[in-house]
Amino acid sequence: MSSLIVSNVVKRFGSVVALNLKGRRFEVEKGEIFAVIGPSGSGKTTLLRSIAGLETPEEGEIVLDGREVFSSYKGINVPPEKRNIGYVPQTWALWPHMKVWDNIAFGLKIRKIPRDEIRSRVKTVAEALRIDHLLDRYPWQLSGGQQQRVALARALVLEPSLLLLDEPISNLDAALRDEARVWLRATIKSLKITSLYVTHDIREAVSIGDRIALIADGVVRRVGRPDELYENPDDPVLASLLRFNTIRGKVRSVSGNKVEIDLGLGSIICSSKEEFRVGEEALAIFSPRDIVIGEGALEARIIGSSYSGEYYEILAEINNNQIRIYSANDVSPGPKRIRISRCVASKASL
Amino acid sequence: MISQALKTLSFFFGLIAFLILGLMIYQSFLGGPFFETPMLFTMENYINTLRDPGFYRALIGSLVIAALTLLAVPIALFISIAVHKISIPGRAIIEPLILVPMFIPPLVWGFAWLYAYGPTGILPRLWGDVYGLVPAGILSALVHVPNAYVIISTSLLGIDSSYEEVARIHGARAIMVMLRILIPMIRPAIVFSAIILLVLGFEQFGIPLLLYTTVGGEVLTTYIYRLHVLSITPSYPKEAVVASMLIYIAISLILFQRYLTMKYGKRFAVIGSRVKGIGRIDISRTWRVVLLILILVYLIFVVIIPLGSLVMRSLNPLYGGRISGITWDYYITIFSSEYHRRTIINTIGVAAIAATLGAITALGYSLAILRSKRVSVSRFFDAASTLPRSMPGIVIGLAFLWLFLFTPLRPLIYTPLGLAIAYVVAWSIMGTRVIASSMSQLSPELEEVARIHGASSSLALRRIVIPIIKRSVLIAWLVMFIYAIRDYSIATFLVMPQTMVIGAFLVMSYGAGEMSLISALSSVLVFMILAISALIFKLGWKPYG
Repeated sequence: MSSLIVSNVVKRFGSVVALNLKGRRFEVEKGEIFAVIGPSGSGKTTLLRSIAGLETPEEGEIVLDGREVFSSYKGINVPPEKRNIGYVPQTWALWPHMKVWDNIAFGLKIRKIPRDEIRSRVKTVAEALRIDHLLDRYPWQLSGGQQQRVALARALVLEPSLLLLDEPISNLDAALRDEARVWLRATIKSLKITSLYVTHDIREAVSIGDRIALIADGVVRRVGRPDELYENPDDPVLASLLRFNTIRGKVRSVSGNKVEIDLGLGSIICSSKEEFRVGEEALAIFSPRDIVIGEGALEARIIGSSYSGEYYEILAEINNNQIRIYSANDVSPGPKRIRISRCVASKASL
Repeated sequence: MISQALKTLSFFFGLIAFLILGLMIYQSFLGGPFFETPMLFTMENYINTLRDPGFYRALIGSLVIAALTLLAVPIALFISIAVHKISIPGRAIIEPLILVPMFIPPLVWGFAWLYAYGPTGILPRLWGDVYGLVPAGILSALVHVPNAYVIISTSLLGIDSSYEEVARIHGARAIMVMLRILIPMIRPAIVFSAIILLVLGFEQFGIPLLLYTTVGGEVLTTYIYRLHVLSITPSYPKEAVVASMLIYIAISLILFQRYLTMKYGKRFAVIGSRVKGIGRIDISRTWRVVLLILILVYLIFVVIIPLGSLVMRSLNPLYGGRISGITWDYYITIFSSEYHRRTIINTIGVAAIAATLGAITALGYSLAILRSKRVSVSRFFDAASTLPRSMPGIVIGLAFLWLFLFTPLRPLIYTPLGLAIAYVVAWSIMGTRVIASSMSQLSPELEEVARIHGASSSLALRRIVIPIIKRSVLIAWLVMFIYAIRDYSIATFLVMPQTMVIGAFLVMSYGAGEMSLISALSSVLVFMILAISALIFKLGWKPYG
């Protein structure tokens, strides 16, 4: 059964349409981690706030565990405190005047849960998240990683129908972040809590989410498993989030699901799911890893390179379009032949 | 429930703020009193007023006072740089002394000034004649130095030391850093403080009343006061016209300032808003001592001698002249007289009601301004709290008098509650500033998490917001309390003998020769104000930052 269904939701701020899911619908399965990714200002936070009840959309329906919490058609708008949601905001927002214990117990106290049960539930979740030795401290006495765990504990202790996470690890140091990603996914998965995870970092989305929704300019453009998005990044916004290369060209020929795109100084053959006509503008999208230097028919000019520790990141130009190439060896600047081993085609105007 | 009650109360006060402003302007366009005249608009009142030579005399008086009040800007600039940018010794003692005049009512400063430098003062005529237009304007400037000091210091403390350091390293001497880097960078604050001082100068009532009307002069505020007090049948249209003109002047000045902020705000925005350190400019020891002496001279002659004279006068057994022993007679008179005792109790009682209602309203205003999702709501409350600042106290008092006399709010006339309501409307901005500035540092996420995790909006307010900002609610209460006990101009119209407060008593008895009683009551007031302001500073209140 779907735990969360969002359909036709439209939210405007004045004349600006922040979120437009008119005619769109997505469902999140029970226990699934659904990552929402998009550039800043794309509408992903508006989506999260609409689900939470912090914003009231102009239109649409939101169903949580079989219960309609919002419906513009039926005039239903359940206030945030009645939706049974857990929330971990970007800043964690731990209440500074309460000790860790009181922070975690807050929601349970409001629900008038018996004191013994509160004690045991706070203890259980604190042990599971390895913060049971911090319960007597104030938030400012904790490290970043500890604060993040407390914020998560505060949400999980409620056993919510849905857990909302808004870039919860973006405030951590880079080193801690890698660890937190693995830990966060394992923790949420073991508790089987349906989660919506909002982020602008593609690495976070692919490593934490079971499925990913790509959102840009208020519109959901793609929904799919992480590997599906990597395999077929036929969307310019997705390509740029994945740090793929995008070059605009003209369709020279079409045969089946193969499209030949003319890039000015040579052409490449890309796979495509869409129908293209000859002469139409198209985008060739390809990974920096799928480029071989020193062979092939394309002419490129190497501009410079930097070493990342694992590979060389090489900056090159094809007919005035900049591209990135990952290569095991360093390459000196100047003209070089290159071959693109894998490429997908996308409509130029989306 | 709490949040609903807060909304209702704030809306009530917000509405009254618009009502009194509207009433004043509405009346200025009516041929007769608003409560018995049909709605027929006329320009006649304005034409008559503009033909009245008495009005011009008052207007010129006000212009001169306002212009002379601007003298506070260079003084404040000088002190501000010396205190914050140059390490003069004893800053911890000097700064509170500079800020003291801010809380003491100008009328009391006027008395203190007379007792110090007046014809029968302790240092008689040290600065020449204390009566007249120019002396009144100069005292108005001295009284308002702290207001400019606060604005300029805020801006000065917002400048990262790296701007000065680069200039020093690139070869500029200390004086060049000040003239070419610091002062130009805080130019918007200097202009802003000048505009605020003009508004305050036009509003000034107590000082010209004491030092200028006594020699036959007139300014716009005293003109309204005397129109009302001295005429047998009050001329509502004429009073309203003069009051409205004061409002127009203040609103134009405030709009001009907003225009300047919009126009030049970007140009003066400091890149990288986080201040890493406040730099100190090194100057030679000699210069530092010279600066310190200059500031000490200012403090001694402007703050310490006048306040000391006020207290000494209240303890001096002889009327006027030299000090000849000490007597507690005047204080005994005050505390043994039923009337004066009640006046003091009324002052504290009204201030407590006003502070309580005011702190609650300020909380409601801050929530509406910062947390409302509807722009119209936050604009309404923003205007409701700032608009009354465009009305001199005397105009607010008059507007409330009319409101209470001729509308269904009649039961509130001359009551402590009625006066407290006027104070809340007039000064809610002071409390709102305190609460809003601490609330704006509070991430809305703190409440949002509580909401999502099951708390209603009232519960989130009670358990999350109020506990975190409770100190600033307390500070707001104390600030409103001080503004209520220091008032004299609003109360002048809204009290009767049973509900008399100290400020109104001082206005009404300044001409009656009760100088000894005045000095004793003023000293009681000053003592209360100093005690509470010390408490506010101790609670961590910062006038700027």
